[in-house]
Amino acid sequence: VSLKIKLIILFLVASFIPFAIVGLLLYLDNPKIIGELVYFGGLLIIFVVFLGLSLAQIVIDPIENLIRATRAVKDKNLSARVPVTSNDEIGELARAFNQMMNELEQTDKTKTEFISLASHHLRTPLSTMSWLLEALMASHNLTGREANYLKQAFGANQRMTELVNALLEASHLELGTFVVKPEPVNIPEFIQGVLEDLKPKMEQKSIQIATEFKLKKKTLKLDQRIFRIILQNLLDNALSYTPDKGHVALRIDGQGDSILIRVIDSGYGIPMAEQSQIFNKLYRASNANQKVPNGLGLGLYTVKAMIERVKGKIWFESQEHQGTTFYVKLPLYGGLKRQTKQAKK
Amino acid sequence: MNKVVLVIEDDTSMLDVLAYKITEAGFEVLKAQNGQEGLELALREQPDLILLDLLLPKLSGLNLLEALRKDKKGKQIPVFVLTNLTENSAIYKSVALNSAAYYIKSNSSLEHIATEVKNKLSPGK
Repeated sequence: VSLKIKLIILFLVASFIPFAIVGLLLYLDNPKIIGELVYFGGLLIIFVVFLGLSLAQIVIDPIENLIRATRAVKDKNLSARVPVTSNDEIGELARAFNQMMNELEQTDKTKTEFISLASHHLRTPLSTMSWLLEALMASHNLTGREANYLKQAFGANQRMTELVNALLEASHLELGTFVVKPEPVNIPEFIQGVLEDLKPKMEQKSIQIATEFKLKKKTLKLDQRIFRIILQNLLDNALSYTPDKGHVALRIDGQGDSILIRVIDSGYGIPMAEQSQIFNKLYRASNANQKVPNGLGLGLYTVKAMIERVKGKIWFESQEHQGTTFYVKLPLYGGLKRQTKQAKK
Repeated sequence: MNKVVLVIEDDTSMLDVLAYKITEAGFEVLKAQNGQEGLELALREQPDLILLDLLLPKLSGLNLLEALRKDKKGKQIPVFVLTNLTENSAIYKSVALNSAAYYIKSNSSLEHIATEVKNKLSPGK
């Protein structure tokens, strides 16, 4: 029962008890006035209901506003505020809510600015170093040893850049400052670009990634950054943890409002006892640590967090020394289900 | 006559190595180390292309671009934004101000930038 009805019942009971007592005494004194008593009783009911309704409105409207605003905040809308309509306790509650939201919004802004600034400041010296090394490497009169040292320094710098990028993505996710933005993506073309970036690694491992698409439409709406990070991480892992000349395949199937991504490898597999931990932050499987000692343990953690952010799912099947298949169910429209379109109609 | 590239970059090492690479690619290079100086040079010398950093002293890259686009001749000059700022708002603003490309420094090799400059200024060669 809503608060409104409770209030009206309370009012009715409170006003009718004295009315009934007085009415009964008058009736016992003079039974002829029963007609007038009924008439006044009816009037009283109408008056009390009307009074109750308007009083309830004064109390309940601001509460409903607060409920709406709280729900908006839950959906990450930090600009939600409520109107302050009175100077009583309820007005005070509204004012306190707004002050709290101002604080929250400010903190959120500070966090975002911090990440953006940190990412800039960390990348700048790395890119300077990278360019200077690149210019040096292009020099013609280097000895073999010098060229080799420069190449190693350049490689280390590239790895550092990748680590910084991975750390920043992870903190973006943790601080909740990661914004999902679905856009139309031509899937086969997009995959081509991702594979292009992995080419050096494919050559190094003598593995060609096989692709297969089963899609009704080639262009689908999803968040490019999330899609890229998922593919890059899963494919890079598959290449890293598969012996040279092994097999890695990527399959994408359209399934109505989502796609199913499969990354299949014939690699080392994940030991049974460690399978429950591989999505944990900074965790690296024991055999992964042996094969690729300089991994950070952020890749799958970031991928999982991103997938969950768009209400998708990730799971895997793995057998040691046989291989691993990662499955990702990625909702289209960034998990928003075209609701914005429908809402406009 | 060689085409002219104006490089606006406050980090001396970066400015130096960019200028070296672009000179090597066969272009004449003008250098500026802050936004104010960059804008003045751009308007006076009318370069064929500008490489623009965004975080600059005195006048930010985006403000420089805005001022450049208000000028009759400056409107025409192609601009490559070259920065480590990765947030969408900076990218959108640069696109809105008609920049020809947006490169994240840490993700772009020097070679790649030099190639893009060549493609823009002497296509087909």
